[in-house]
Amino acid sequence: MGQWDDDQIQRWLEAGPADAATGADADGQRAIETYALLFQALKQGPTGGLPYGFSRRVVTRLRRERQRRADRWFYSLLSLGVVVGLLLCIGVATGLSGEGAPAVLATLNTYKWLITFSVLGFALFQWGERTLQDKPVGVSSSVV
Amino acid sequence: MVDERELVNRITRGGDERAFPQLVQQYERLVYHVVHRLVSQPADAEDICQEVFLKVHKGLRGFDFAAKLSTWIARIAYRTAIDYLRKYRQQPVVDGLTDLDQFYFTQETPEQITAERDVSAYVNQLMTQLPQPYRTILSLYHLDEFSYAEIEQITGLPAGTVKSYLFRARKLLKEKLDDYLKQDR
Repeated sequence: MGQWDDDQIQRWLEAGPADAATGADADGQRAIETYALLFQALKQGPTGGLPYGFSRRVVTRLRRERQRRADRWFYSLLSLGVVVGLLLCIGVATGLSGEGAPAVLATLNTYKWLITFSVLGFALFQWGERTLQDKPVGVSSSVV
Repeated sequence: MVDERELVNRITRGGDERAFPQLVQQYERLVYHVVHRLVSQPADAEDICQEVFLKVHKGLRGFDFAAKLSTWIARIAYRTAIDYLRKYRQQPVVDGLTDLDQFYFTQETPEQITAERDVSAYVNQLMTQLPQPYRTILSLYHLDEFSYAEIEQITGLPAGTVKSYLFRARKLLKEKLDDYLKQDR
């Protein structure tokens, strides 16, 4: 293709306009034309794109994640409060009366499974929510 | 064109509800171009694009304008899409220098050739078959008009490698386009 090889043509097209292909023989001229067509085609974006209202979806998702973080914080504080409250009750009962403590402990013992399952259920709920939030992309979160 | 610094300040200061959607609208095409070249499924691509903008929102406070905002966002998009591919292995992720001389395109049927008379559509179809780094680099350079240095920042590939990938991919595409045009004549 005369004095024009592929790298030269590409460099030349990168540098500027494709209207001065002087000094090229017929093969070179054709190569320049094909490269020029290719460069033009590469400037065309893919067909399709993000749906209309994409930014609104992003903002909705952002708000939802903020809300989820706030909820998680709230429920963590709440569960901490329940545990501290229980401990406080036991402490107060023990302090006020020597007979109160066994009664509190007996009550706790009676409802131990209820308390255990409540705490476990709460922990499971938190874990489930976190797992759903970290689920693989492309499952359903595109539907906002 | 909105001033980048001003837009980022409006978002990070808070209180301006319209600032972040404006940023999303301004860069959604760029993010889509980067993600689409790596992840072909539209639903996955959209989810990844959303993920990218959540990361952008989270990281904006730490953005120091050392690079252009578009370069920084494109890097996040590229990394997020690559992480997705690594995690779910839809397509092989090629980080090293692929031997493009050994590469061949899927044989087109005459029907496909007839259907793809449009050169742009034909080139786009060929691009989908190229190995990952080539697709990304071609798109970043030609479509989004990033420089070699900026593509280096986005992909982490040295500028020399970026240039070499670009030239080799274009040579390969040109050869295919040549054949296509000969059939058309």
